[in-house]
Amino acid sequence: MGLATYVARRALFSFFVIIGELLIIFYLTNIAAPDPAVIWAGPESTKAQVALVAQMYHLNSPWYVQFYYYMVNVFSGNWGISPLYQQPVISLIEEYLPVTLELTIIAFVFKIGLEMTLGVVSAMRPNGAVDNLIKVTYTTVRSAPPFLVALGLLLLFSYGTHTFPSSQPIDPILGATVPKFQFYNPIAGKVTGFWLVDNMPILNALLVGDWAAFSSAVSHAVLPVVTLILFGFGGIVRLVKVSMLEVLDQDYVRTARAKGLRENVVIFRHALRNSLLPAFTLIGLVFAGLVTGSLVVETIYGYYGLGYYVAESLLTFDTPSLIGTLILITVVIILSNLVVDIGYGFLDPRTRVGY
Amino acid sequence: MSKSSSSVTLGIIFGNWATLVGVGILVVFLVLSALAAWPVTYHLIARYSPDALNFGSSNAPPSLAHLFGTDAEGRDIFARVIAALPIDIVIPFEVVGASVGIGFLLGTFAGYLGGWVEELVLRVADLFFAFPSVVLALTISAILGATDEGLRVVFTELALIVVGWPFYTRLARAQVISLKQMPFVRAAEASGLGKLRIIRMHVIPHLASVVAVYATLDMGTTLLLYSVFAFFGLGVAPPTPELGRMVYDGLTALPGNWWWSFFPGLILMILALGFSLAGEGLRDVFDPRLRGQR
Amino acid sequence: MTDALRVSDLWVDYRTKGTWASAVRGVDLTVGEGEVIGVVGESGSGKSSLSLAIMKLLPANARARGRVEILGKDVVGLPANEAHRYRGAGMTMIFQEPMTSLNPVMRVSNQLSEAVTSRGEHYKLGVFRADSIAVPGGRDPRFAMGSERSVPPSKEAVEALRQVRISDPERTASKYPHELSGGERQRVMIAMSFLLRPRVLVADEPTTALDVTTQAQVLSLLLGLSREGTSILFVSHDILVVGQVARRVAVMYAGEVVELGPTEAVLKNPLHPYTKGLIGSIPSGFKGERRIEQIPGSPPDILRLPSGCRFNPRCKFAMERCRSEETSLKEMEKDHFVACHLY
Repeated sequence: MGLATYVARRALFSFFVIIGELLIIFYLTNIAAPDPAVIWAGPESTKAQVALVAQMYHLNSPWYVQFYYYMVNVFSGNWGISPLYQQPVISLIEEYLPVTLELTIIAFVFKIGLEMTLGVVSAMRPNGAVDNLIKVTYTTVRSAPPFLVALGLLLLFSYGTHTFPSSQPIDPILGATVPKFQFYNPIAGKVTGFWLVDNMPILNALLVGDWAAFSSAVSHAVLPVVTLILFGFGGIVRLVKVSMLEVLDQDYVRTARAKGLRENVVIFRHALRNSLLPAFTLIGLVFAGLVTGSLVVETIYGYYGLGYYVAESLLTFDTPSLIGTLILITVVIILSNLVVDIGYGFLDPRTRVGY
Repeated sequence: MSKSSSSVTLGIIFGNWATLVGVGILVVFLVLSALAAWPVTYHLIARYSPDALNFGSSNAPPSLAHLFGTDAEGRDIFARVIAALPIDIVIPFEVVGASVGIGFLLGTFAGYLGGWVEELVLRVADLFFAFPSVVLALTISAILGATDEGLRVVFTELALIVVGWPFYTRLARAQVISLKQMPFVRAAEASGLGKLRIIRMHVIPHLASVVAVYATLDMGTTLLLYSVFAFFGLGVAPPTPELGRMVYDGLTALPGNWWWSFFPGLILMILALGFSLAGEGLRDVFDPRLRGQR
Repeated sequence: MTDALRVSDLWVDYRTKGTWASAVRGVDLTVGEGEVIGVVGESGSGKSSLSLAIMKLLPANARARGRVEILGKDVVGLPANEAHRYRGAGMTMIFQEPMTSLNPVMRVSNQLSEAVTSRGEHYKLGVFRADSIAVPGGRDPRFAMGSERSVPPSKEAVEALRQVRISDPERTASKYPHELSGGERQRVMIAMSFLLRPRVLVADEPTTALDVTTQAQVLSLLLGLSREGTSILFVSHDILVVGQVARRVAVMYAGEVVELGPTEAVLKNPLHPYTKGLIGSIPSGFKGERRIEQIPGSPPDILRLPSGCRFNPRCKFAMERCRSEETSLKEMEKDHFVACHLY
């Protein structure tokens, strides 16, 4: 009933967001920029290269012609060639995206789980010792710039105690020898790999059953994951706590208590779901935050993923790479927001009518 | 009435040590950065020039002579941190100030006038809200700043404002919508006061306190965000010291000369903590609903 | 007749501005098995605090002193983690606000089935005697966190909905609360009480938010419940509504019971000037009389109670003694008590 309309509305909005962003980028690169061809070719390029690029991207044509080719290129996956790597942007993304996706998803799951738990715990005894400890911790941690946390962990656990390695997603020797996961692809009709899976170091090692590679990949991921968890830590803790306290005051919680339910049943069955609902609206932002954090985290830990790639592109003004990754990140985040919105619709029956 | 409420306010500020710490940090840093902008006092505090190369004492660990140690060129990190303060403190003020200004204006009018104005403003704000803001801002800044090093910091600030204003627009609009229902605004309308006058006399004073809370909290976030931009070389042009950039520069010296990156990062953290504690304190004063609930 | 509920010298204090202010001041009340007793008073008279104290559901900033015995067991001194044993099958409560009293993210059927499971657990605990009802055991998969499956509603839940005269109970059971009207929700709440079969039911203004026809239905449902042996404490600001269901009425003012007696006696022959005022303030056009008497003034602030009789500033008959000497309940007629210096 209402759910289909709701989903359709959210999807339509997401589509407009992507179009809007493409317009902004187009405006910036092709119209506002003083010399668009230099931007696309890279600041280090020669005159001949710039001329070639201007021709390639139709930069000497009127803006609507440029816009036409720009949109055609975006939607056909022709995202230009990186002046830094001298490779098509799309193939660089294919290589780097899965690494970061794996890292952020792991961090995301742990972060959400940890923050929600702490939020519920602090709501149990507001202003008690545990609550105050949690409060002090997250107030301090969230004030730390991401590179400081990364740096501190690196100094302590990598250079200090040598517990975890200091760079790369996996030991390079193991990384080179671990086979790629293969499976029978019914569409292609043959046994193939899949770029999304075989560029994820942990998942690939797990799927091919290479335990040495698996443990290497895991130990390389520990510090980046912890840093990402601590990046912007506490937002969900506070939200869950406040909404849990609000929910515990609600009439239906009193009803549940009046029914004679045990306190933990009251909390877990009646209060928890309602108090976590507001936090779900933040999930999209958390994911976006993790992607942002991955730029810094991957740079400091030398973890070769999308964040590292974006950071390199920023430092060298590699515009085609920047734009390609920006479009990609936008799409990923908007899709995740869409998933969250739809999930919210399922979790809270009231929204299905409201929209 | 006003006397007792202001004494309540003071009571909360001084009764809460966390707020006191936050305000203290901010005062210390504001004074330091004001002094640092003034060459005479600057040399009294820092003792070294931020740009003085001294290869004789390069890579020195923290000591009494060099509180935060020195970098590869023998520059005193403490002096460079002090020199960086004015910029790192002014930028959040500029960015948040502009975001608040734009958002406040658009949100107030959107909320008060309603109709298509509101619809348009909200949709555009939603659009900007849905972007991965930091990556977008980084890209904007990098694309525009690629050709001119000196303009990078301007573009960075613009980019931060572009992603910053929608929040205040939504905040102001939500507040105005609820204010519109309040008896005193209704009464003002009934007495035939013009819309602009009502907004100026009744709506803006009420909004100001709420916005002040979020602006203070946002200042800390913006400081950290800007430091990420500086980290990636999108801040002020090189000879001027810059906390985020110093962290990045220091990474090359790891694992040995950790102090090079560590102290600038630590100072950023303390400063951000100051904004966040002070903002939470303000929230307790202006938003009694949340008092003691944090 | 044994007493299902015995409240003796109950005080409820709230922490405000650094001191304790009492909202309920030394209330004594007994409710026999299957009896319906009405508690009447204006808002702020302490009747809601009384109900919450009996249920041991007071907010965190409140405390109760005195005794509340459910079937002879005191619950006031009970540690918080044991209170749940006495709720449910022991005592339960219907709240004033039907719109917010049901969990918005759980289907009606699941909220009802929960009552059945709860009752079963109480019987197993042996706190209350078990009757012939089968006791479901084990974890109920319907209540797993996050899953809200559309399982067919249990027979008992549907039966309870039918009992409270909800049309198409099967469909209603599988709905969410927001899909029901206020009257339907209140009937779901009552159905929940039917399923719990509590010894004591506290109904706090259960009909206030409903329209008149629904009100009458809800009242007759409650009477049905009392006929099955549930004792009901019916709390309302409306003395006429109370008069329709209660055998006895207690009138509360400023946290104290000022008049207590059989409903008929209190309604026909009110003794306390406040009770007289309450009855007088009901628009009684149907009696052919045209007076709408109001009690002058408003209920006192519990932080600044007047000395002597708490009602004296609003009382037409106030004497010197009323301002200095506190009142206590005196039996005027058989079972009809009043706390007033006039008598």
